[in-house]
Amino acid sequence: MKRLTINRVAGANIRINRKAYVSLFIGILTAVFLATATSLCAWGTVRGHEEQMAQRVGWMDMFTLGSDEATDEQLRRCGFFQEIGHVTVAAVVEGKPVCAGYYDGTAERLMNRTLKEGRMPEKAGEIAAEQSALIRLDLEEAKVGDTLTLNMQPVYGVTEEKTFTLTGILNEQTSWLETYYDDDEYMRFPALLVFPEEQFKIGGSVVHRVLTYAPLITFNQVQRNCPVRMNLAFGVSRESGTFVYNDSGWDRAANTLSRILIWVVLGAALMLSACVGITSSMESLLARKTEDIGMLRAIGATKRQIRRVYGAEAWLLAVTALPAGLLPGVLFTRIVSGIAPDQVVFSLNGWLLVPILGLSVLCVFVASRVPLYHASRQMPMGVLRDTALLRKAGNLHSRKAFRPDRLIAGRRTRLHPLRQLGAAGMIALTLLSTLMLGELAMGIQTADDRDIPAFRLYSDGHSWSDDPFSELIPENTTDRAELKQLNAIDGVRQVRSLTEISVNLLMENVPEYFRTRQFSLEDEDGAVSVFSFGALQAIRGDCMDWLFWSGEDAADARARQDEDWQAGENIRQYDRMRAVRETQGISETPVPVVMYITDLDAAELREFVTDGTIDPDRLDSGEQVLVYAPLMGVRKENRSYSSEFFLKPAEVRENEWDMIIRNDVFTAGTALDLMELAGKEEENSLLQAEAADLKALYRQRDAVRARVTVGAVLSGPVRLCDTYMYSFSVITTPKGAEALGLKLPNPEYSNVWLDGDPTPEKEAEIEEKIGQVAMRGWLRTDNQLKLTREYRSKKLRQILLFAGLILLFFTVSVFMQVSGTSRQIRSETRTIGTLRAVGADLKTLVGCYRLPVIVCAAAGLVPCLLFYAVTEIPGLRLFTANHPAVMIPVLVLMAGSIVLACIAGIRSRIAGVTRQSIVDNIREL
Amino acid sequence: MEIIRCEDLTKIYRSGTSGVHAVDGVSLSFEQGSFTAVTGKSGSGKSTLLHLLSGLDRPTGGRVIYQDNNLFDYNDNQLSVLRRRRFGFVFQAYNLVRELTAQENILLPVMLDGRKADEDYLKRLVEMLGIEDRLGHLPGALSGGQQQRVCIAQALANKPALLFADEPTGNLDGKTGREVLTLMRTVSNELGITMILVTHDLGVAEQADRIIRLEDGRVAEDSAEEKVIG
Repeated sequence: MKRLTINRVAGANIRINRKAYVSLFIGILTAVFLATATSLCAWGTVRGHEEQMAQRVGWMDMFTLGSDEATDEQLRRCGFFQEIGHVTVAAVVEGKPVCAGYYDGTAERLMNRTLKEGRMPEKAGEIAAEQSALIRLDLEEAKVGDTLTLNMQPVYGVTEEKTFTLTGILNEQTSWLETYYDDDEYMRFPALLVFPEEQFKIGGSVVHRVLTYAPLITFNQVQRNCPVRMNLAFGVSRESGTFVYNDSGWDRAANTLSRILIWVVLGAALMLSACVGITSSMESLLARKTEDIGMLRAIGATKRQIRRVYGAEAWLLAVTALPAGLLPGVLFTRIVSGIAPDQVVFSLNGWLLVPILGLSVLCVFVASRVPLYHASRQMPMGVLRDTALLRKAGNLHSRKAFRPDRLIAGRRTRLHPLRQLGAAGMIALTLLSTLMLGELAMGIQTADDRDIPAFRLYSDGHSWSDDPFSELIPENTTDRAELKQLNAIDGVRQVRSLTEISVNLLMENVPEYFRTRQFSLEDEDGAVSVFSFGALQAIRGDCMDWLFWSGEDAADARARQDEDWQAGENIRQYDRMRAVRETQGISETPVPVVMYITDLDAAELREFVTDGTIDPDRLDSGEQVLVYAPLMGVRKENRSYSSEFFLKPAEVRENEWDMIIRNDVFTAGTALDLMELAGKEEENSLLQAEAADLKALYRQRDAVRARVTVGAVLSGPVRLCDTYMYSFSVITTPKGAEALGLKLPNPEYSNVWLDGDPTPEKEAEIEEKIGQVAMRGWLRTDNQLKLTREYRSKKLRQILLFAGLILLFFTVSVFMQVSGTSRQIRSETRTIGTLRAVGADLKTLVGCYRLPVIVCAAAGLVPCLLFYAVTEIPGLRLFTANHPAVMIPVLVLMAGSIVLACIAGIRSRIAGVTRQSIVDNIREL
Repeated sequence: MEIIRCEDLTKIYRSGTSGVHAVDGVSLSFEQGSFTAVTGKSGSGKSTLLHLLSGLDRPTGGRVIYQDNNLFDYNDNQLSVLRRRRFGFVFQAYNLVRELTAQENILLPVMLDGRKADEDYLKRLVEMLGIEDRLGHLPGALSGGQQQRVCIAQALANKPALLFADEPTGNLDGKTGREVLTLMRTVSNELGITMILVTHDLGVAEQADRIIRLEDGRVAEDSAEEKVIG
């Protein structure tokens, strides 16, 4: 005879009562399916992003430019790296920022170079190129198979003319890896690939390294702790697909989490509903076994034994449901991957069984716990249940006049306050999702109001300098004349450029308005950070305390400079300021300010004028300039700070701001003495030099002096050429700058607006033409139409997600509430019969169950409204787009809809009971 | 004067293809203010007859005429109103709402009707039933006899025209049972209530004005007819 085990008893139970277990099996199957689909989709999303990034920057974690400071052996031994590959730059194309080179096997794999068309070079004399490199070489028409003749200059070598056959067009990669150290043309990755055996007559080469980290190593750890010194080392961000200076690994983890958050939230919500389903099925299954359980308890079974016997049934079903749920989960992911192949890559991995099994087991465990607990607590004699009720009731005040339905419902709510807690939580989740949906929906509407330029061209740090007093005029950028070509492109309505330079405002006394003010903030770890605010923030350098220094202040800072980094920085700037005064023979203080040169739209700026008027003619003649003199409020917010720019003093509520910065200096008609010091980029290295050399530097600069008057003062949230202004600035037009004799670098930003909405083909055509102009001058191009589309589609996806979540939470809330009340109705059929016998109609019976539903909805609504109210407090503000006058009625309406849906469900259940005769109701038990 | 009558009342409980005739073509008439006991063996159909007469259950065939109207022509709401205004029920099992006190349970039919309670009448009623000191307790805190008294008070609270009682003393010991029955009798007499009582206890039945014995769902014996014949 077989030994009787709990599993055998459970198995026999299931076999005998198959039909009764169907709903529990479906619940568990759903949980396994959801665990599989969620895990696979989340993994697929991570893989999808990884593959996009790999296309852009390969599989490397880090690279170094020019590997002369450490040997491979040293790098291998230090334990920080796993693989090291080498990229050899053999030569640059003379006079062009394009270099040619080749990879070793490891680098080839880590760089993941792929071809748009053609093949890689297989012998000397063959070459593959990125399209952007061909454009920069004025060879945009070149096709695979063409012969290219290039003047190649090896490192420290002699230029020679070489002829290559173009074998392939590479996917763009090197532009993503361009650093700020590429003044030397060899310090970049080759956009032209040649065969390693390619011979150059005279010259050397530069070798860059590409590396992968050892497990658990990050770029910041390499920077801080790696014993091998590497001068030009850069991390590669798998998030942005560019190089980075700082990468602790947390950003990546946080971004990965945010990327899979959709699946996590969706999965959690759906699995929660599956859990509710399992709990409900099990409750109803165990309710039918009340007598069996009572009998088992009466013959001495312990609570634990009861839980084991009936828990084993759920686990046996889970074992059967696992393979049955896995397959549809895999199929679902395959379909999602088919619909959005870029976002979700279908990829199976044995390790994924761990989260799938974990989630399924957790779901079944958690969901079965409550009904098993209830079942095991059942007393041998069910009547004893009333003892618990009497204990809870305490001293009741007996009523002499009452509405029976309200009194019964009120008593129930009082006696069982926690009965609907789960449903109340779900209602709160529904309402919070509604709040998020409102924010997203209203946010997308607000974002659409702006007239966003279709394309934005910008330079990427090629004129970088630390000097606040002088302006560097870089080469190789696109000038205004070239940008004017954009106007000729069919479909372009308007091109507006913005040039940003640093000029000196010569002032006898530096006004207090320019003084930097500070406040400190403590972070979670108790570390104190000091933030500086001021109207004056130059395009280079920090807020400028040293403008106000006396001789003693400077001596004090000079004495502290070795131990205080900030004092050292300030004293260097102070010395530069003195060098400027001395070399330019001025007694005033040169205050470095930002000057913007752009084609102004007077009508657009008029609303921000606080004093004077904008007169375009006098701006063009160089007689007048505009100044942006912001009125700012700054306040501490949640361990951080926020600032706002105001138009008029009347707008500022003084008590809401910790610091208010007001313009009390500049008005229309104020005379300004401007001085520009301009020079070439090569002189930049002198900036690190001693005081004597600094003087030499400033003497070499071309000085331009001009006296102008302020035509109008602007304040508030001003945008120039779609760029927000953030500090005191002087503004003029290109003609005005020319009249003043200023030397200008080429524009920093250019925005292109189109005539109406182009077709996709037209947009691609315009983008290609703009790209050709941009790439020649090392400008980057953002297709803002595409970015806006992506933004809107992302927002729409989020809206759909939240709408789906709301629907789901709504359904689950109603389901939880109705199924909970239905269970109650089932167990109280006799009471219903009694009430009917003494004359209660359907309305009264529904009323007996209505109040707990309303209380439950209120229990969900109140915390949600409180949360909303708290997040509306300045400093804790979370929702910016939505408005309480809209959101509060929406939330109340949503809670009301849940109540109505629940009452409709409950009414139909009670109607089902009243369809039976009263005698049947009373006989039920 | 007749208050209620049934004509050819039949109730068949279906079980698979066969049917059990719980009540089989019963026709009876009840006089206002009378006290009738329905007796019979277990399964003879006495409880079913009472349920049909009181409109708690629907018959398979036949009619119950109350005030010239067939009860089963009423819709659910009309029946509810009738039950709370004109009928009172006492069940064998003490059917009380667990969450309401004894007093609230007693007041339930009056409150369902939205009327003001006749406090003097109710006070007298609970004094007669001897439960005045138990009014603030929940049913779970009352003994079986006390619960049954609360049920009787509830059934009489709205001064019904008809009181239906299904083995009201079945779960009580002999002494308490007799007390309860005497009380019901006294109150009914005072208020002129017609009482129809189901019991298998002949001692209880003998207190009635009229005894009807059922056998296999049919009237086997009716003391009223015997009197007529006699």
